Amino acid sequence: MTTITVPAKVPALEPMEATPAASAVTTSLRGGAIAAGDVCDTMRAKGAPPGWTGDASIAADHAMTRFGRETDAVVAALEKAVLACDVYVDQVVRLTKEHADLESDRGELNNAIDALMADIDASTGDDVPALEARAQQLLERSRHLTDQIAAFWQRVRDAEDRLVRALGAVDDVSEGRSAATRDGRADTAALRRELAALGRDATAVNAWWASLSPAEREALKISDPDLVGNTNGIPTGDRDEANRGSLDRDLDRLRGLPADERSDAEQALLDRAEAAEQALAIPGSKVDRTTGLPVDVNLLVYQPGAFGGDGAVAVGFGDPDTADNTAVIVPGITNDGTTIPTNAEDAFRLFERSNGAGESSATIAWMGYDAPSWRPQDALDWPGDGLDMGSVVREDKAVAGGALLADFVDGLRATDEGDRSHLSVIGHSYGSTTASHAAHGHGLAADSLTLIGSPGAGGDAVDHARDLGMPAGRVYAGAADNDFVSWLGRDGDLGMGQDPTQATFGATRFPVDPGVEFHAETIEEGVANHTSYFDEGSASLGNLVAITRGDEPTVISGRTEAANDMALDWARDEAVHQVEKEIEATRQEIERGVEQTREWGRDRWQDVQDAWPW
Amino acid sequence: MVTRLPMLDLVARIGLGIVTLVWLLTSCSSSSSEVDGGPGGGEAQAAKREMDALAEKLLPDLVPRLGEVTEMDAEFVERGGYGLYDYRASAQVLRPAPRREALAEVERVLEEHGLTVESPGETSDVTGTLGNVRVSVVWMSGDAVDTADLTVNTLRPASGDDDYVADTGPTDYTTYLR
Repeated sequence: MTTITVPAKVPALEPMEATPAASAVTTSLRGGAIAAGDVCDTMRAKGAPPGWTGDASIAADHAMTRFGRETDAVVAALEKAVLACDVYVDQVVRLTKEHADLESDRGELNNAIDALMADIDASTGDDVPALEARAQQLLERSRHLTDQIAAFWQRVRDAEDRLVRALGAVDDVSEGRSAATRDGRADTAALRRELAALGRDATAVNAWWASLSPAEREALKISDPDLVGNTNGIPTGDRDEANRGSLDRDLDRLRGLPADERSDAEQALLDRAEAAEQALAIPGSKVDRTTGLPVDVNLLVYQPGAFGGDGAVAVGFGDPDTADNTAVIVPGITNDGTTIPTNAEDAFRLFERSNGAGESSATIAWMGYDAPSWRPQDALDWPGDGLDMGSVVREDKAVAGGALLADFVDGLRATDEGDRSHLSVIGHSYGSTTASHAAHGHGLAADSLTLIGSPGAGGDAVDHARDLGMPAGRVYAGAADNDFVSWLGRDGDLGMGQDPTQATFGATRFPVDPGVEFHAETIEEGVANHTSYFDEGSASLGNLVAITRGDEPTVISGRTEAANDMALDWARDEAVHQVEKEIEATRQEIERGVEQTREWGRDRWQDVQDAWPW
Repeated sequence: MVTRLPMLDLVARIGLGIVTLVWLLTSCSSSSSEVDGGPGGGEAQAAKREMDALAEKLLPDLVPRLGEVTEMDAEFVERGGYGLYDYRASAQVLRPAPRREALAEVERVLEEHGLTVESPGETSDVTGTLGNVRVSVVWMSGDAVDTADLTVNTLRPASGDDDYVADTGPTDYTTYLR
């Protein structure tokens, strides 16, 4: 009898204690550091209250200076702690991937061992040499894998040790003070000046950012999170970290105020902060199928007080700096900082459907401009939100938004790593007008421009798709037949430009489900038609996925009936419908009246019969 | 092209604007309880009731054909700032049963539960509808992991139920699987 030594199966790896979700700790720490930095700045900027004089005033000044200095020691300590946590989380992300790879290798090895055992059971003497060779091969694989697993756990311990040492180096007041006063601490004021000097040149900003040390970057994220988080050209991951720090600070502060003590402005800020928080949570525990890791969610813009309190925000799924395909969705009227969860839902659906099959995607809901928005509770606030909504009849917000959008896309181009990402901009409703202005007026650096549910492709100067300056054949348009907003495009001074789905406009038109016919009393169905372009399973979503991936959508011929004529047709039919409805209502009213009269007559006749017993 | 009738265009535009504003005002002030029983419920409550009931019966039969689901919350999602709400739940099944093998089983389960199975084309591999509810399953391959995405959603958005929606938290559909 021959003995063949088969290696034992390799046991499953213990799960890692830390996960990429540990980044939440870093975010909280950074948020704390930002808040402490704000306190420090306030203490330094303000002295004794106005009107104070004499010894009390001097004492107050000194006390505030001392407090400011001590707070700065906390900030300096936190700068180091946050940097250490950041490095640790990066390592955890890499180690998590390694863990998954090792588990996969282990599974394959154990399957091979099972297969060998089965072959041995069924073997004859002639098979022995080959089986022994396979066993030897598996033994070597097993040893190699066991060594790899041991080395992996050593790297996990090393990462933890480094973190503990870094945190231990700033865990008391004296260490914080020395961190604050040490030579080489980042001069954030100087860094701010350098960044300001670069203006809107995203490529220069990107190169400057790359030249900074990790400590300088971290210090700037803490001292100026709003600047770092919203400057185009700074990499997505850094913008996200800075903006999440700001968000964490805002949520902490505003939720800490009793609801009845919050001013209207504070409540509005909290609403926008909570909306951003909700949008960031949309993927839940879902995994990015191209990385095997939790979906990378990025807060690319966070300015909750921008545009008179409407707020600016952008939330992305996937990493646009590394993705093969990136899509920026520009929402339209009624949207502001509070509606980002809805906008992000659309972006996430596009991400889920376009990411995979050999290509990675990133999608961004960009509410980074001041769209005409609406708050019902302020409907009578004039000039206020009423005026804001009224601005839908003008293009000025689309013009201003177009410049901001073009800058944002320049930023994505500047931070793009590796092969050039295929970048699509998708404008919906008034957002399509905004995107058209970005293309026509500001050289939008996208590979394609898609206009859906468009009220017009931006102003008098755009008569044809070629006027948008996009690559040939890369202006796409789609509109539901029963989307009344798509009936507004027109030639001439009035309105927001040409209907981009017209055959004469020259865009590539793709099919969209027509939507249901609606009447004035069921206008919500008309609104549903206008908001169905990202619906699961819709023809529109399928085509938007193709465009995002750089493929051609299904193509249909353009509209030949002028958009305004479609509106007039509807208005004419609606007038007939309303008259018919009124006639029908009147007829039913008369019938009811006749019936009631008959009943009355019958009742009276009955009364007569009852009173006259013949 | 259209400039031949500028006044008509203007009238149409203003008319549409008025219709939109009237609808917005109406949607802000409508009493949802008028639509379908119960205070503060209406269309949204009816949609939730219909979808929850179907999910409770369907998911225990459907999900095992696909794989394991660990998270599936149903919640209302507003369309823009329009006061229209979709009710929606989605789940991601990692390393699902292969599409070719599971497809027939999934279709059979949907049909057994009375759904009309259809093939919508480019974004969903299997779709079934019943009343106001749609169920779809999409298989996707990835460099790291393959997934099947299961979505249950209402077809028609509900309107006029802001308060009810604001007061209604997510419903955990994984409880139907235990």
